[in-house]
Amino acid sequence: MEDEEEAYKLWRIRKTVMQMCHDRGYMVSQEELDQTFDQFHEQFYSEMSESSQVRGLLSMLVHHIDDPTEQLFVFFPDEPKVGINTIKKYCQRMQRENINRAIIIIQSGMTPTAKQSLIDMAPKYTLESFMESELMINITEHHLVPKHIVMSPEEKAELLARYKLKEHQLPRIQVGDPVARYYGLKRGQFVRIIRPSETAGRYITYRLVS
Amino acid sequence: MVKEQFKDLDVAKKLSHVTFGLFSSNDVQRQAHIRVVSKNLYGEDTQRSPVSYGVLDRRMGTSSKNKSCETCRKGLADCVGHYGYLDLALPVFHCGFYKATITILQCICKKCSRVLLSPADYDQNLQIATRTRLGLQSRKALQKKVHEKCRKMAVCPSCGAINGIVKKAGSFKIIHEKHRLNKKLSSIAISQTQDLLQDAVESNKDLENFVASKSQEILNPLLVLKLFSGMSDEDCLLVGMKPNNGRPEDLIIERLLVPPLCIRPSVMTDSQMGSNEDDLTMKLTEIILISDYINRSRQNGAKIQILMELWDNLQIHVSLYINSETSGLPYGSQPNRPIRGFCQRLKGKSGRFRGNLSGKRVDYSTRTVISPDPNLRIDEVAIPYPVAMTLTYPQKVCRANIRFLKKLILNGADKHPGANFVMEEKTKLRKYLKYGNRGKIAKDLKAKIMPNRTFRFNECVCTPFNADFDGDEMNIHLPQTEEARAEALVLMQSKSNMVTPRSGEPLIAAIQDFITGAYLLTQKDVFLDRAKVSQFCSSMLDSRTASTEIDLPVPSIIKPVQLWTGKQVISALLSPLDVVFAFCVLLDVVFHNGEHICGVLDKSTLGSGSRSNRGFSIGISDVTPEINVINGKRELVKNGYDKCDQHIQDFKDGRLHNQPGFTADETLEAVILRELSVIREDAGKICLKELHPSNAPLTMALCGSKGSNINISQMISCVGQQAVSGRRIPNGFENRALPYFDRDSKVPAAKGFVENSFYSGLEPTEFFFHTMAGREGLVDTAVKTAETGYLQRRLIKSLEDLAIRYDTTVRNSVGGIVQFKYGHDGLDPSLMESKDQPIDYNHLLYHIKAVSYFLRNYINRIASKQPQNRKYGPHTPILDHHITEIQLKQFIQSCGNKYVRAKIEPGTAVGAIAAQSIGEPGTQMTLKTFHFAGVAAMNIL
Repeated sequence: MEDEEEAYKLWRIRKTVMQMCHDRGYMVSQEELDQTFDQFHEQFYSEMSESSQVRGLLSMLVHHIDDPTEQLFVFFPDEPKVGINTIKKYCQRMQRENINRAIIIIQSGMTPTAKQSLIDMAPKYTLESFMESELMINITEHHLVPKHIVMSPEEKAELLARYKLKEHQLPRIQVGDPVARYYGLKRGQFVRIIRPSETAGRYITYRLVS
Repeated sequence: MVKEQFKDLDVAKKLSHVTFGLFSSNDVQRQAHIRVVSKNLYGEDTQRSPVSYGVLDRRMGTSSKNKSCETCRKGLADCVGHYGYLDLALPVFHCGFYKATITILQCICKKCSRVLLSPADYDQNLQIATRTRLGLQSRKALQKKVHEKCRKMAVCPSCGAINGIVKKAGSFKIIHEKHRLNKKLSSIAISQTQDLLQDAVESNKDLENFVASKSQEILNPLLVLKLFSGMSDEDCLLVGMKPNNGRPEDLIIERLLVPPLCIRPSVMTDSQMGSNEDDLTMKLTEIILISDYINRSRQNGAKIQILMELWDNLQIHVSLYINSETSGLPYGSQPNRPIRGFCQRLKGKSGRFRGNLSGKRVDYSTRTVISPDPNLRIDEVAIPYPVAMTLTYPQKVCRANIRFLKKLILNGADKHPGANFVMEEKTKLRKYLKYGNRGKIAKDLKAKIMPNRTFRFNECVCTPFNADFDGDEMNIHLPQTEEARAEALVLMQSKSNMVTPRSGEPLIAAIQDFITGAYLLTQKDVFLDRAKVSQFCSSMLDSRTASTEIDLPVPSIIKPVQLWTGKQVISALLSPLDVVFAFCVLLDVVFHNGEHICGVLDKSTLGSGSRSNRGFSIGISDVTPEINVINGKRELVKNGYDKCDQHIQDFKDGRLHNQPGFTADETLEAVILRELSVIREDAGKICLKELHPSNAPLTMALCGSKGSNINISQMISCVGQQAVSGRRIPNGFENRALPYFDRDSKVPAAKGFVENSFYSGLEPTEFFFHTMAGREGLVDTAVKTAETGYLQRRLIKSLEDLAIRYDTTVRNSVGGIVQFKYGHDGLDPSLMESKDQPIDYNHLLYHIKAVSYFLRNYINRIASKQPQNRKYGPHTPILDHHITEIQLKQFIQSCGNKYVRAKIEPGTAVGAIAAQSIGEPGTQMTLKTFHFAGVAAMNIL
C-alpha cells in the first residue's frame, strides 16, 4: 500500500518534470507527457521489486529543441537529505558528458554545504533544486497563475525599443519566484505575462528577472 | 505686475547637478562675515545698540525697519542676511550625526584610525567603493557589509592594537570596551589599561577596584576628532563617505554658523527696557557663555571635574540649539520651556518645507463663511460685493475690450464693475480691475456678484467639497493670468467634476430637498393645473435660457379641467420641445422608480421651486404614535423581556447551551442581544406600517433624501439597545452599569436597553446610557479623522509621482513602469457609459435612430413617391434592424469619437487619483466601523 502511494507520488512528480522540461523547450515525447499511472508503474516497477531504488531509474537527459547539444539532466537522488557527496557525483557526471544544466529533485532537504556548493558552481554549472512536494502539482496549471512566456533576446530588444526603456525601468519578478524557478529563469531575462483582466479582457505585462 | 511666462534665459553657466555634503569648519568660516565672540547682546548705552562681535551685530543683517545692514547697507526688505561664526572652546558631537559617528568609530581602529579590515577584504571592498557609478542601494549594502565585518575585528590588522566594543553610554558618551569583544584578549586588554593607569592607582588607592576588571575608554569628541582626522581618503570611502563632499571629522562640531538676524528677529518692547529675543539668539549667547567659561577655567587650571561638567553642558546646549527635542538628555538638563531649534523650524506640518515652501499664504485670495443658495446653477458661486470690489485681475487692453475697460475706469474703484488701478507700462496699458463677473473661483465655480457677505453655491456641490453650512469657511483664489484662468476653467470647473474617477459614479447629484421635491412631484396623485405647470416650467429657466420655448405636453386629464401629472413636468424639463429623444425614454424608467438622477440637475431649479411653494416640515404630530403602535410595542417589549428573563434563568441554572467557541457568559450576551435587536426591529416595523403615507419623516426615508427607518422608529416607538464598542453597556460600577440596578443584573434595562422612544422620553438611567453611546461616536470621529488623514498622506506621498505618459504607460518619476496600460484598457473610468465600457451601444443606436427619425420619415415620404429611389436612398433601411446607411455611418463615427474621448489623457496624475480613491473610503470606513460592528467585512471598492 505504501509502495503504491509512493509510486503515485513519483508518477506525479515525473509528469510535472516532463511538463517542465517541455515548457522550457526541451524535447519530450508526447507519450512521455501523456503517460498514465499504469504505464508508469509497468515501466519502472516491473523488474524492480525494491521500490527504494526506483528513483535511480527515473533520472533522465533531455535535449533542447533548437540546439540538441544543449542538454539538461534531471536527477532523483535516493537519499532523503542530499549531501555534498551526491552533488559532487552529479557534477562529475556533468563534467564528463559536458552538460552544464541539471535539475535535482530533493525528497526532504539539503545540507547547508550542499546548498552552498550549488551557489559556488553557479556561473559554470547550473544546478536547480526542487522539492518533491513542490512538484506534486504543476503550478502553471493553477487558474490563478497567468501564462508566462520567456522572451528571446530579439523580443527583449524590441520591447525596450517600443517603450524606450532601460532594463531597470521594467517591473520585476524575483529569481526565486516559483514560476521563474519553473522556467529556470536567470537574472536579466524577460518574461511576458498574459493575464485575464476585468476591464480589458486580456492584459499583457512584462517582467525583468532580478 | 502681470506674471510673464517663464523663458529660459541664455546664461553663460548652467547647473549640471547639486551635491549635498557636510559643512566643514572651513566652509563655515568662508561663508561667514564676522566672528562672534561677545556674550552680551546690547551695549550699556541708553540707545540699546547691539554689541560689536555680539550675536546681534548688525553686520549679520538687520531685523528692524529703521536700521540698515552694515555689510550691504540695505534695509530689512532687501538685505538677504549675512552669516557669522563662533568657535567652541571644545569640540562637541553633532546630535544629528551621533549615530553615524558611532558607526564610523566601530569601523576604525581606535589607535591608528585605519579601517578594521584584513588586507584582502580591504582591497576587495575598496575596489567596489571606488566605482563611480555605484547606486545608492549598493553603496548602502557595501557600507553595511563593511560595518558588520569591522565590528567583529578584535585586533587591528595594520597596527595590532586591541579593539573592543564601541557603544553609547548615556547621553553623548561613547565608550570603548577593549576587553569585551574577544575573551582571549581581555586579560591583555585589562593589563594594558592597568599599566596605563599605574601612576594614578598608586596615588589613589580607591581607583584600584575600577581598574581591576575593566578596561573602558571614553571616546570624547576631542579624541574622536583626532581619530577621524587621521583617516585616509580610502578609509573614508569604505565607511561610506566621499572625502570631497565631507570628511568624518566634519561630523564633529568645532565651529558654529551664526544665522543672519532676519531669521531670528528681536522684537523691541515699548519701553526702552528690554527686548524679546528669538530662541536661537538666546541659545547662541548661552553657548558663548559656556565656551568662555571653559576657556577661562582652562587658563586658570580649574579642577578637571568642573571642566568636564562644563564640556557636557556645552554639548547639551549645542544639541538643543540644533534639535530641541533631542532625546536621552540627563534629567534636569531638559529645557523647562521647549525652544524652537533648527529641526523644529524645518519639521512637521507648519515647518519650513510643508508650511512655507510647498504651501504658502498667497495674494489674490479671500476667505469667508459659506451658505447655500438653491437658485444658483451648480457651476456658479455668489461672491459678496465687498470681496468683488477688492480682488483684482490684471486685464490687458486690446482693441476688443478698450471701450469696456474705459467704462470701468470711469466707474472707478467704488462702483461695482470698475477699475481699482490703472498701470501704464511703456507702450502697453494695463489695468488692474476688480472684475467680478469674470473672476474665477477657488474651485471651479463661476462668479456671480451678489449682495451680503457670504459665499454661496448650490447645495448639490456640497459633496465634492465635503462642505456643510454649519459655519464652514472657504477660500477663493483669483488666477492672475489668462493661462491660469483657462486651466482652472477647463480642469476644475464643477461641470467637469461631476463624476468621481474612482468608480465613475456621480458625485454631484440632487440632495435632500431636491429629492423630496422630485419625489412628491412624481407621486401618482399629483395633478397640476395650467397655471401651476406653467409656473414650474418657467422656474426651470434661468437668465441664460429665458428665451427657450417650452411646449406644454398634452394634458393627461382634459375634462372638466385640464390637468397635468407631475411626471409630465419632468418630461417637459428633459425635452422642452415636443421631441422625443431616446435618452428621455431611458430616463423615464428612472423617474418611475421615484429617483432622480444626476446630469439633469444643473438645469433643475425645479426641486426648490416646488418645495418653496408647498412647504415641508415636521411637527410633533408626525412622531406621535397611534394607540396600536403603543400597544404593539408594549406587547413586543414584554415578550422580549420575558424571553430574556428566561435565558437569564437558564444561564443561572446552567441549562444554557454554550454556542461553539463561546463561554456561558458570552452565549448569554449573544442570545440576549439577538432578542433585543428583534424587539427594536419589530417595533420599527409596527410603526412604519401604521404611519400615514403623508407623514413627513416617512416621506423622507422612502425617497432617500434624509433619514432611515431606524431614525423613524427611534423617534416614535423604541430607541433600542445602546452599545459601547459593539457591546452592551459595560459595568462602570462594582458589577453593575449604574448603581440604580442590582449587582450582576443581566436584564435588558440594566445593560442599556432603552425601551422608550424619543417622543415618550427617556428614563434617567436610559438617558445616561444614551449619552454613553453618543459620546463614543464623538470620540471616534475626533480620533479617527486624524488617523485616517495621516494614512491618506502616506498613500499620496508614495504614489504622487505616478502619471500617464504619451506611450500610454503609467510610470513613476524615474521612468519605471507601473502599468503598461492604465487600468489595463487605458480608459478614463469617469467617462464610462455602461459598466467598464466606454460606449453603451444599444443606447447610442437608439439615440442615433431617434435623432434622425424625422429626417428619415421625410426622406422616405419623398422616396416612396419615386419608387426607383427607394432602394438606393441614403436613408433606406439596410438591415433587419431598420437602420439606414447614414444612421450606421453616424453610429460608427460616434462610437469612434466616444472611444477616443474616453481614453485617459497623457499627463493625468493617476497616482494621486489612486491614492485618494483608497484613502477616501478608508476615512469613511474607520468612521463607520462602529455602525458595522458585528458585520465581519465591508467592501471598500
